[in-house]
Amino acid sequence: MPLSAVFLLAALAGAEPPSVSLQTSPRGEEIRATEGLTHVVLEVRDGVGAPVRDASLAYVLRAPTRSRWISTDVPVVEGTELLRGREQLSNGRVSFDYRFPLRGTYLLTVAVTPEEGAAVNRVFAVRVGERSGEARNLAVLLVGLLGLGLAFGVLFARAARARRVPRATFLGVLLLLAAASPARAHDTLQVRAPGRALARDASGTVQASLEVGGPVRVGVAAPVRGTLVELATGRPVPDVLWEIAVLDEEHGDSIFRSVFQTREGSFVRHHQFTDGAPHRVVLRARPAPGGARSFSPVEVGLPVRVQAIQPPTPVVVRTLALLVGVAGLGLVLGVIISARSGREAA
Amino acid sequence: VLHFIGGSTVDQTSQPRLTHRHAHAGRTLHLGLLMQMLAFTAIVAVVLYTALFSTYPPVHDALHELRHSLYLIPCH
Repeated sequence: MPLSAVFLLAALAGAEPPSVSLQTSPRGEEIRATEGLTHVVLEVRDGVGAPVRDASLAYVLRAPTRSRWISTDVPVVEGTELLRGREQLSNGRVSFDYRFPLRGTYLLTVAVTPEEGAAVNRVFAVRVGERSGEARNLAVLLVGLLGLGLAFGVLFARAARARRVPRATFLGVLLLLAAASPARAHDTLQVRAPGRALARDASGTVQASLEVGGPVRVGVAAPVRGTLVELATGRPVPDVLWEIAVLDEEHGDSIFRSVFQTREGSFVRHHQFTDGAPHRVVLRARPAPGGARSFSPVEVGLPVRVQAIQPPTPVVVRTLALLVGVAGLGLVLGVIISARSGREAA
Repeated sequence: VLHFIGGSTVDQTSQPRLTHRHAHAGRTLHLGLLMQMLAFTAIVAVVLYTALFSTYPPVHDALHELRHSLYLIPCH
């Protein structure tokens, strides 16, 4: 390539802002909530299509906003921040694996800050479908409630015509159920204070630290800090390749996984634990390719117990009213049907 | 005028008492049905709340996966 062409391409690359693209695997329309990890890749290219290296990329992933009428199964998470991180671009890309916790449209906000030039901001929408079979399960429940109401409506109307109304029995059952109702029960899921774990490499020269800050509860992204220091001096180790993984120990599922590089030997990112269950964060550190410091790989794990949060009362009331309303509708229909058939028989 | 009710014969003087008894029976029928419908609805509400919405640990833990598989039941 002639030298003038090289200069021209370099000038073009410098003149145009970098472009950011998003790819997911599986593709957007095939992603299902809580069904395995989705591989997310953010790619940054300059004006001539070459990967951008000297830049940092910050991203924030927000959960879908709450629907007015129908909630998801984790309404506390809706509209909240799920992930937040800043990484040095490696070969012009940042990637992570994530298990999306609920259906809806997520917003992934990306800000690329080159070492030279203006920052670029992009917002991507990632649409995630509901788990397969959930709509069918709901339909079965609603049809069942409607059928139950219908059957009792017919039964009550017939019994009433025959003046065999065991009212006292119904009231007794109602009082019994009300007395046995666990409405005053409280959530007994245990909350463990934020923790910190340490581990050294095989040679005992470097020490990794993993810390999850509080409050570790559903609905709030908790800070996750990792550092790797020289034991002799206490200084951060430069050029570290990190691998962080979040596991849900109750279900044995992998929630998040990311491999990234730092120059300073430490990082802070935010992760929301969306299930009030025991989790485990595992951090591995090894020398980055071409890094100045050599050390043995080191791994540190930290158990994290997540505080569950009760769903908002309006959401509970609305959903319960919907279900009871369906049963009530069936009941009224049953009475009407029975009354009509009774009139026709008379 | 004679009225034949249930195979027996009564004279006109018993008419007011008979009418009152029929009216009372009609009101009892109406209220009984309404009470049953209200009781049924309340029982359904209590059972659904207990099974699908309460945080009572034995019930919550036993039905946790079911709650998460019903599309719209809010959990933690």
